[in-house]
Amino acid sequence: MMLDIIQNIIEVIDNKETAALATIVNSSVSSPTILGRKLLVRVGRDPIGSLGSEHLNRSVIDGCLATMRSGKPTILEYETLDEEAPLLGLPQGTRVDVFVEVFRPVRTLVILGAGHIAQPLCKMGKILGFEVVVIDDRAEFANVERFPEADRVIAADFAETLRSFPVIPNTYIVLITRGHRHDEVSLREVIASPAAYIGMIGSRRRVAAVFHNLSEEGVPAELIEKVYAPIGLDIGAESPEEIALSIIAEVVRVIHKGTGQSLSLARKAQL
Amino acid sequence: MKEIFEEIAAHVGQGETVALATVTRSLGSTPRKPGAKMLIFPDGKISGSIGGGCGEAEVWAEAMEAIKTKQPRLVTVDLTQDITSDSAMICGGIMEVFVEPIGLA
Repeated sequence: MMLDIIQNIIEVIDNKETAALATIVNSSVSSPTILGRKLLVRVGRDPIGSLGSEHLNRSVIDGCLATMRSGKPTILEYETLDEEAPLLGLPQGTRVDVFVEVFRPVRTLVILGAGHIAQPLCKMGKILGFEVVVIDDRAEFANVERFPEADRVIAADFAETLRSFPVIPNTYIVLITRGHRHDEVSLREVIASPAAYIGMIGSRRRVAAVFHNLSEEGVPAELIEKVYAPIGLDIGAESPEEIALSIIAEVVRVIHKGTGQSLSLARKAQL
Repeated sequence: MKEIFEEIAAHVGQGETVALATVTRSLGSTPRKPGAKMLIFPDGKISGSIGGGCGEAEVWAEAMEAIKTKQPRLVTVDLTQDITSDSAMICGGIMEVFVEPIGLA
């Protein structure tokens, strides 16, 4: 059974599906037999495994669905019912702790523009576990020699490529093309997508010009508001490597909803 | 994450019993967050990390015990107590780690 669940998890990861794994990790009345029992909940499929009772399974499945939405591992606390006593071997009212973790497809970092910032950004993205895709319409820039770490390097027209690119809520898009015209063309393709992050490089003036054009075309203000532009966290970045760091730091901040401030600031504020 | 499950499948498929350690709860500034995993083999070798040294020795010992007795356990690792030790100074925090033997039986 355990091996069956492990094989299913591998399949989930391979197929880029979402699933939640529930494991009994503790109970208020000690019971070695229920510890480690597992239930795997795959989207659109029957659950695999069992925690020991239908009621417990059903209650945990609800918790799993909620955890899949948040993506954050959690511990569900369950109190056993009278009728479950013979099934679980636990007296009524025993607290059972169920750890729930979620498997979701890896995050994809899509870098539009294969210039001097894209190279260190691609490396950093890989270090942080992203699937990295680099796109540029110039084959002399978008090639495997310049981006050995990238999962995919696409040398083709920006808009055309994006039109057929699967942008999902796990996609993080960085617009750092050689000119704001290309940034604008690319942004137009993705602005209404469910991407988790869209950031665009450029001075405030250039960013304002792009936003103005999109607004004129009827792109709703709330979509424009969601774009991180100018891109990056303010770390005083100057070199291409530093700018790449500032961009990836902003992406991480968005993922984990951090403040982007020095942690020491909170301590100093308390003094 | 996929690699660790493939390792489990490969080793358990060959009849070995391995121990999987998963961080289930963390309080304070622990090095790894819930969901982090480490695999412990019967020969004592490890794969993956739940803290880059912080508390791993304790979990390792429990894992070896779990493989021997085939009993899962919840281990509380307190990294706050001994503030003079190197690891506590770097890590701090408390974490709960579920350690389970995985075998064919």
